[in-house]
Amino acid sequence: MNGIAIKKVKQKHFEKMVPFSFRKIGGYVLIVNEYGNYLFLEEPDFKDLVENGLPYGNRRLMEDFQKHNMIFTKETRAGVVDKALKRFRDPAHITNLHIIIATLRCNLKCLYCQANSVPGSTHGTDMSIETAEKVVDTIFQAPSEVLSIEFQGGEPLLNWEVVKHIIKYAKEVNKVKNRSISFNIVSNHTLIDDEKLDFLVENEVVMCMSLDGPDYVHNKNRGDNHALVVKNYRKVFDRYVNEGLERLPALIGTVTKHSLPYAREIVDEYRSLGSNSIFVRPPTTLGVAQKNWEKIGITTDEFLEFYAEIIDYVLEINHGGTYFTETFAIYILSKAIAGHEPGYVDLKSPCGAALGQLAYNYNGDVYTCDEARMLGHLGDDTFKIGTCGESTYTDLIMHKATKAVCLASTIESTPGCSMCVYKPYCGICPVQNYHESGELSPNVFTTRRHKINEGIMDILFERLLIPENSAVFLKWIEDYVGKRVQDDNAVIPDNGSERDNVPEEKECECEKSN
Amino acid sequence: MKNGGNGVEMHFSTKLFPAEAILGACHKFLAKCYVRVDYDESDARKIIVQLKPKDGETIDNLESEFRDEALDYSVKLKILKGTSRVRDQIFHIVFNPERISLASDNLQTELDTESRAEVFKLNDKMEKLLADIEEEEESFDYEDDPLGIATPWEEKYGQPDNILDPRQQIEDQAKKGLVIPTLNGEVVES
Amino acid sequence: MKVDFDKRIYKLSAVKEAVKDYGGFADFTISDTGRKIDVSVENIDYSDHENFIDEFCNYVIYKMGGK
Ligand code: SF4
Ligand code: SF4
Repeated sequence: MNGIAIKKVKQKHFEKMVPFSFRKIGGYVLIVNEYGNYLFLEEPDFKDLVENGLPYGNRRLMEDFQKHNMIFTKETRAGVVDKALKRFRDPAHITNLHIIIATLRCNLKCLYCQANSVPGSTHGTDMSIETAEKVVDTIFQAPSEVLSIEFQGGEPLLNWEVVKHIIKYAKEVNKVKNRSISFNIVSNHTLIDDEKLDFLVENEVVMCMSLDGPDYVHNKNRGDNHALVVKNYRKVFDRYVNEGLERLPALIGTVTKHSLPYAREIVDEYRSLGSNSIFVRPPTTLGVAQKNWEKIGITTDEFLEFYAEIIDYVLEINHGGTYFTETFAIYILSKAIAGHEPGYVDLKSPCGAALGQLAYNYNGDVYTCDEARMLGHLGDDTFKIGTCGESTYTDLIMHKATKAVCLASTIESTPGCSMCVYKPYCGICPVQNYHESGELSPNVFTTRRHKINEGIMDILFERLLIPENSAVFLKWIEDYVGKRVQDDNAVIPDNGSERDNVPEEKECECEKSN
Repeated sequence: MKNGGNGVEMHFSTKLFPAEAILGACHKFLAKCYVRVDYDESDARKIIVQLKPKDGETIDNLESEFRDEALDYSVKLKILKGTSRVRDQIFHIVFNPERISLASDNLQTELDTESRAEVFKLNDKMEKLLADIEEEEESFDYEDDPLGIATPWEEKYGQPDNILDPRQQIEDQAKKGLVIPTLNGEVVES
Repeated sequence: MKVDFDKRIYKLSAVKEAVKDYGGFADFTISDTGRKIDVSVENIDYSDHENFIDEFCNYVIYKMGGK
């Protein structure tokens, strides 16, 4: 930070403050305390704070510090402790997301397929009924009151009998176990038919359908099936609406080189299909994506430029009176603005591996997370922590790989992250790190994840500085967290007319949030 | 260090920039530069930093970028040290070992009468912890506070309406299931 | 080749860890000379010796991160 006289900066200036870090953003200084409260200061105010200590003579600033839990006083203590408890000791939902690979087969051959699928005819990689039951029995050993079972693949609908059996069997077991249980399927939606749709509707299975944008983007990544996917999506969507189901089908897309020139068109495609949100995620370097990297791979800078374009366009849409959100922004900003922990496994410390999610391969092998399972498919079983039917939940959670991943993804003890202003909002991925560098904890500044997360947060906080944007973000968070949110950094306009345009769609959990 | 001619050498006073801060700043540059840090042989109060961009890396303003980073890091270190007491107090409450062990004991079991009593005992402890901290705070030196800001806020401006009493807060947390997973709702209501 | 690390800046444990991780590429000898940790590096199995030493020194700084 330019202009600070380090000679004047004294430890004692911070003695009544809650631990915090800072970063220069858009001409201001963003300060964030360890538990996620944030505050923008003007540069001279920040300089004054670090050089001279708390500005007792400046009531406005002191009130800001108090309101945002930046000082530890009798008044803020309860709020700070509450925040810290949520951040470090939130014990709710331990291992609630369970990802099942019903088959590795897929009828498509997408360029970036992380799942490393095998051709549709290779039946050796289908889960058997016997294994499926063992998987469900393992899932119910997890202590979480809320269980979310997600089918991924391969294309889960290719092993339809087993998917059906898992849902029926889990519901049967749950009659005794009495958990709150939900099912999601991540599917390419080319294989949906009436019989399947009836069953999915009857069991309120949430559908997550892959769509990368208009045909000229989607078909380049995923083969010539855009028209079919859109037709099926509309059919499923209409049926869910007509049946009055609470959770409507959601779309998920992947960003590749082919997406880059079409940020606006991709958002428009989602809107034209009735979706009121988009979730922008970069492709991982895991799996086949690695082999096809020259064709589809993008640099972190390219991704961030694309992300900024999406966010600006989405904000523009909202300013025009239509409600439309970006999910990654919601996950980060709900932590900052509402102190809400979205439980998104990739933005947690420690990350969601094993504690948040488990992945079950078609043969019953259990991995710390789905990315770990993909690595297993590439021949590296470092993160395999057991096998259903042989290992208990305790064995899985006490496995040395589980402990190693938890330790390596604890941001507070990661050199570099421990001093970073974004620490309360960020997450690091040991599996991706290990895949990219051979180390669980490489120098964080060299990792792709750091560059992307830091860049995204810079983009969001820069936008947050503009009152009309922060009003939009506030609405998103309010809607997501489900309560009135007060953010004193933001200006909230009086008229609530935009809310009338909010469609009823709810978010899909296939976005790895738990 | 093999220097391609485009490297920089900087000197930092150890009085203002402790070695820890310099190393912390270096951390960020390791991917793009070769870095050496050493004490000045002729002046023990100076640290020398040499940076040389790796092949293919061009960094504009390398020197000013590093100086900014070293300054930021030094300030962050002072914040870290200055706030350590408050951090300890917060951690003391959050990671109270008794609460944690009780939480994990209860993770998968129903709450029986005995552990119900435990929870109440626990909340007592929490109250005591908070009381201790309050007491400690009484002994803070408010000499630097000519305007009396350190006087409890509510004495000066009235109780802000959105701020709860700490005990109330703990109970609310219990209700939300945050203190003991899934179980406290019943306890507080009973 | 020789390289030294001032003990007011570096921790012996970080140097030792770095030597362990780089041990497969060269023979390292560590000696503690009071104020400095001297490391001599022989039989470097990498064409550009100077570059190897540069990488090694960076790695020591990286290892200091967790100390
Ligand atoms: S990964 Fe990067 S952005 Fe995230 S906390 Fe660590 S240093 Fe900060
Ligand atoms: S290891 Fe990586 S992919 Fe797996 S849960 Fe953690 S952050 Fe996510």
